Amino acid sequence: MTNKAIRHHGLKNVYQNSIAPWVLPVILLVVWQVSVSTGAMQLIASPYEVLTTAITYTLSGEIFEHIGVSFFRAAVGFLIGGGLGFILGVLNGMSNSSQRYTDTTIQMFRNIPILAMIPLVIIWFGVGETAKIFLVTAGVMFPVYINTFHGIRSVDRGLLEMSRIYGISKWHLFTKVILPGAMPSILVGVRYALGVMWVTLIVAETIAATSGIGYMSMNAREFMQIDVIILAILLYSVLGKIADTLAKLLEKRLLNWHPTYQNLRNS
Amino acid sequence: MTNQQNGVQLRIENMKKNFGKTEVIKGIDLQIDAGEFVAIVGKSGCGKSTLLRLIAGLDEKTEGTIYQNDTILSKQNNDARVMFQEDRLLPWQDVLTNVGFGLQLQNDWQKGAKQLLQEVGLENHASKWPSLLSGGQKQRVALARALAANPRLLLLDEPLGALDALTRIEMQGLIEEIWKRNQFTALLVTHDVSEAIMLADRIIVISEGMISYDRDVPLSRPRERSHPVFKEIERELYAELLEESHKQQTFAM
Repeated sequence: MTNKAIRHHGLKNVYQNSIAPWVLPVILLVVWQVSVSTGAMQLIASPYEVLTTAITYTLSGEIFEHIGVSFFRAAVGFLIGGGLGFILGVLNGMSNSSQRYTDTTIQMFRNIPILAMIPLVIIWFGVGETAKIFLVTAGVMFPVYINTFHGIRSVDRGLLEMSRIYGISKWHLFTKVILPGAMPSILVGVRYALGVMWVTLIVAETIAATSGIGYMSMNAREFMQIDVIILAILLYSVLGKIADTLAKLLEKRLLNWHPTYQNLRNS
Repeated sequence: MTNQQNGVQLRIENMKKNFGKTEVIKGIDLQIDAGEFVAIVGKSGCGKSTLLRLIAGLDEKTEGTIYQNDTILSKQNNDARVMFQEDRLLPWQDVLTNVGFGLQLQNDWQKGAKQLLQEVGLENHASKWPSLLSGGQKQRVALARALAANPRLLLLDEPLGALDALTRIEMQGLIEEIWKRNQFTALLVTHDVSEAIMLADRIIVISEGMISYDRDVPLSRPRERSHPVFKEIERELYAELLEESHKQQTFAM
């Protein structure tokens, strides 16, 4: 290939990797703006209006308050629920008797739709932080539990047998063999739990809250502030995307031994 | 490594093993001298791997006794190390740490592990993931790991079965060399007749859970595949293994 051809090829690559994915979103934005401006679409705010609202809310600092509150609920609920799910998953994965005593009960609770508990939770905890954190905790716990349990149970028998022959200590057996072996499955649980976390939080905040992104959105409905509602939706999607990206980074780091992630490491 | 690292002596008496109602080992008596290299040959399902697993303490015997240096072997055999057909390396640990596993990751294991890697010629691969190694290299790492605790008994369960012919010959050389140097007792389960003759002082054939053949290999080392005695033993072994299947066929009719 000549230099020119190589350069041409390089430009094509840049286009395909960095620009091509954005073509459709830009077209959609333009269509959206035009149809709102010309009055073809009603009961919706234009992208421009949403943007100015976002700027106003940012400048007033209000947006950070709501994001902060929602993020706090999500994080605390995730840590408690994920932690409990992980601990239970490890206990039942490692010990048959623990599994015999608790697994059936856990499975029973798992099948309760968390959102159906909202009325009860409001009676118990009111509309305060405890209610939201409780719901997120309950929603997050089970996917982490199931995937941790399953991951530990499906660690390669051959490796466990090998560890037994080599007389490795119990601690090393757990940290060097069982936990890394279960990690791919645990991380699947974490990513799934992050999805559950946002859905639970959104519903909880929309139904019973006096702060947070969901509250901001419901409050705006009363005054027909469609731009604020759309802003709230966008905020949730951005937060969701950030959470997912963090989970992916965690995967890349913890599973860097895995052939799937190997070309990333070697390149 | 000194001569104090001599291998163990094994005495197996009336060994039986059932899996459910199936008798896999039907009564084996066997004595193996310290430092001896014994190959166990047989067709798949004859019970040869089971015998090895019983000696390693991985499975529990149904009946019989194993004496190791005249003491009865209870559950786990701490003097023994096993090399399997699969490498059984931890894919999430680098090569060095995998070897360190043989040293139970205890005090200063890195130094010992590096030395072992050098012995199997992989000192330049210490920080790699196992998945980046070839099949032969992985088995070398597994061998290094098995040697880490200076085992007095090395149990080899078809360790070269999944390798290509050339790598296999190379690995046979390596195993022989290390066995000569470390003087442990070695027990090799294989279905490769020439591998058995190449490595072993003595060859045993197991068929249907019993010893059907037992002979010494009176060849000096290193051995040549073209040696007439090598050829003769090879013929004899094939005859033994094939006759046995012939018998089975006649029974079936």
